[in-house]
Amino acid sequence: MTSHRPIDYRGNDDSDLDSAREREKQRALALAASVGSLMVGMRRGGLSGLALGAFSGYLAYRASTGRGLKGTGRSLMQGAERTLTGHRAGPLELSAAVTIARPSEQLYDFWRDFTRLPAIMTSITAVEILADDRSRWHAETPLGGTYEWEAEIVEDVPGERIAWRSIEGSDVPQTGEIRFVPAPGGRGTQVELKLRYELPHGLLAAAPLGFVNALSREAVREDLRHFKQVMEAGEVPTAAIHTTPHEGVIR
Amino acid sequence: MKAVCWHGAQDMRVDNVADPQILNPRDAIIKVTSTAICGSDLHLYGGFMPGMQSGDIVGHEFMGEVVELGSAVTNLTVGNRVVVPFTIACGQCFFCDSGYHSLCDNSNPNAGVAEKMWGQSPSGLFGYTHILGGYAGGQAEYVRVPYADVGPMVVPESVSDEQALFLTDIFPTGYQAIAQCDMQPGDTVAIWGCGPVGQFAIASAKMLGAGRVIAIDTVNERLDMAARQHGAETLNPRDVGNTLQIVEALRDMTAGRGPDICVDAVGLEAHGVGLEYWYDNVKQSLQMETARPIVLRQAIMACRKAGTVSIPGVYGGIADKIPVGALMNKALTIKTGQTHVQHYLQPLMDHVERGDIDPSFVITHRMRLDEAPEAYDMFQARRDNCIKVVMQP
Repeated sequence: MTSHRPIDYRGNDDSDLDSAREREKQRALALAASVGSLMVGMRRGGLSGLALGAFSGYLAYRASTGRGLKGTGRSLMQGAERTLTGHRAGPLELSAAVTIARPSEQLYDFWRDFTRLPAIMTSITAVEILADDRSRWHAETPLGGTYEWEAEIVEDVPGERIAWRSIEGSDVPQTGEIRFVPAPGGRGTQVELKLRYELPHGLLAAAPLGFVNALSREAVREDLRHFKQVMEAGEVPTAAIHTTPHEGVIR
Repeated sequence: MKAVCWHGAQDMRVDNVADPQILNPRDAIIKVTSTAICGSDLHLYGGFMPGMQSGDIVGHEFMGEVVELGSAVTNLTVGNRVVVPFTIACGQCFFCDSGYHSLCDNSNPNAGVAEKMWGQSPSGLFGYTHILGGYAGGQAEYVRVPYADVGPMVVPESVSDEQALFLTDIFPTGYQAIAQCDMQPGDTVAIWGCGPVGQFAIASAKMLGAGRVIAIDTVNERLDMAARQHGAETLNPRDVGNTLQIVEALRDMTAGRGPDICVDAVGLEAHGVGLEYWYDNVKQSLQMETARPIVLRQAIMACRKAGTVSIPGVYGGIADKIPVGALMNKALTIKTGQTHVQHYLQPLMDHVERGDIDPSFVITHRMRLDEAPEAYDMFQARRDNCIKVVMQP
C-alpha cells in the first residue's frame, strides 16, 4: 500500500513529445511577439505604448507558461479562467515534493498536529481540532478575504501517510494526501503532497475569493519548503527589512 | 542608522535607515566595527547583477560586536567580537552537514526565484541580489545575522580587525579556489585576476605547496603586489595580446604542458583585447549574455590536459562561446561555487593566529562609511592603485 509511486508531473493533455514540441514552438512565438510589442510600445510611448507594454507582459506570461499564441484572442475575450493559473475549470490537481533530512516519524508527528501547520502554510491562519479525525481550517487570501472548511481524515498511517477530504458544503471542496517516503541513500525523507480541488464553477468562480493565488504548484512548493526549513533549521528564514519598503518586482 | 544603499548602476548612497531587529530565534544583531568593499560588490555597482532593488543595503564583508541575541543562540554572548561569513547557512541541512555551506538548502527566502534561474537554490548571501535572499548587508552601522549560532566566529584578542576581516570572504574564497583542486606538489597554478581574491588565491597556492604561481592581470600594481608579496611570476595581457597569444605564452612558460590548475578569479566583467572583447561587450550590453567570459575561455584553453579549472569569480546568468571542445577533449575538471566560508573559518583563523599569513597586506585604502560612494567610484576605476578599501562606520 505504501510502495512508492513517483508523482506524475505531466499535465493531462501534453504527455507526448509532439505536444511538448508544439508547446515550445508556441512559447517561442509568444516570446517573440512579446519582445516585438514591448519594443513598439516603448517607441510609441503614451497610452497606446503602455497598452502595448501590458500586452507584451501578457504574452511573456503566456510564453513562460508554455501556452504561446494559440487561442490568445479567445482566452483574452472569454476564457479568463483558462489563464488565471493555467488550468481549465473542473477538478484541479496540484502536487509537489521535497526532501527533508529528518526521519519520517518526526515529520509525520509534526504534520499530524494540524494546529502547527499555519506556521508553514502561507494561506492557513488557524486550524481547530474538532475531533481526532475532524478539523476546521481557516484561510486568508492575500486580498484579506477569509474562507474556511471542515476536513475529515480518511486514512492515517503513522510515519507514512495521511489522507483527508473536506466535508459536504465546504467553500472549496477538496481532498488531499501527504506521504512520507524514505529518501534514497539515507538522506532523510521524501515528502509528497497532493491536493485536489473540486471547483464546480471553475477557477473563475474561485477568483473573487482571491483563492487562485493559493491554487498554484508554486504555493504548494513554498509551503513544503517552509516545512523543510522548520524541520531542519528550526525556523523559516526571512530577509524582511522593515526599513525600506520593497514592493517592486525583482528585475 | 547609516547604511550604504544601492539605488541603481553607479549609484551607491549612504542613507539613514531604521536599525535592524531580531526576527528569528537564531538571529543576532552585530554592531559593525569594520567592513570592506568586495570585488563582487562592483558587479552590483556596475548594474550587472539581476535581482537588485533600489534601497538595498549592500556589503557582505563585515565584522563587529554582538549587541543582541535571539533566544536560540547560546554559544555567543553580548560583547563578543565576531567575524561573520558572507554565506548564510543553517548548519543543519544535507549540504551544511557535508561542508557545502554556500549551498545551504534553507537560508534563501527567495529559493523559488533561484530555482527558476539555476535549477536549484544556493544559500542566501548578505547584501547581494534578491535571487540570493535580498538580506540587508553589512556596510552599515548594524546588521542582522541569521543562524548566528553556526556562522559568526569569535576573534581571538591577538588578532586585529584588519587581520580578521577578510576571513568573511576573500581569504577563504582564494583558499577554496586552490584547496578544491587536488593540487599535487610542484604543480603550476595560473591565476587570472590579481584583485583581493586573486591575491589570496596566490598566497594560498604558495601555502599549499604549488611549484610555480603565474599571476595574470591587466593592472601592473596588482601584478607588482603578487610578485612582491608571494613571489609570483607575472603576465600582463596588455603586453601579450589576445586569447590565443595568452594561451601560447602560458604554453611556452610551462614547456608545452600548460598550467596544471587555472583559476578564474575575475568572473563576469572580464577585460580583454581586440575583437573578442568587443563581441562580448556588445552582447552583454544587449543583454544577450550576462557575462563576458573571456577569462573563462582562456583558462579552459590554457589548462593542462586532465588539469583543473577553478572558478571563484562570480557569474550570474549565461555566457557565450565557451570552448566546450577543449573542455571535453582535454578531459578537464571544473571546480567552482560560492565559498563554504563556515567550513574554512577555523583552519584559516588558526593560520592567521599563528602568523603564517597577515591578510591585511591587501588593504590599500582606509575610509569612513560616509565616504562609500567615493570609495566605490575609486575602486571601480582602479584609481589611486586601489585594491582593497576597508571602511569604519
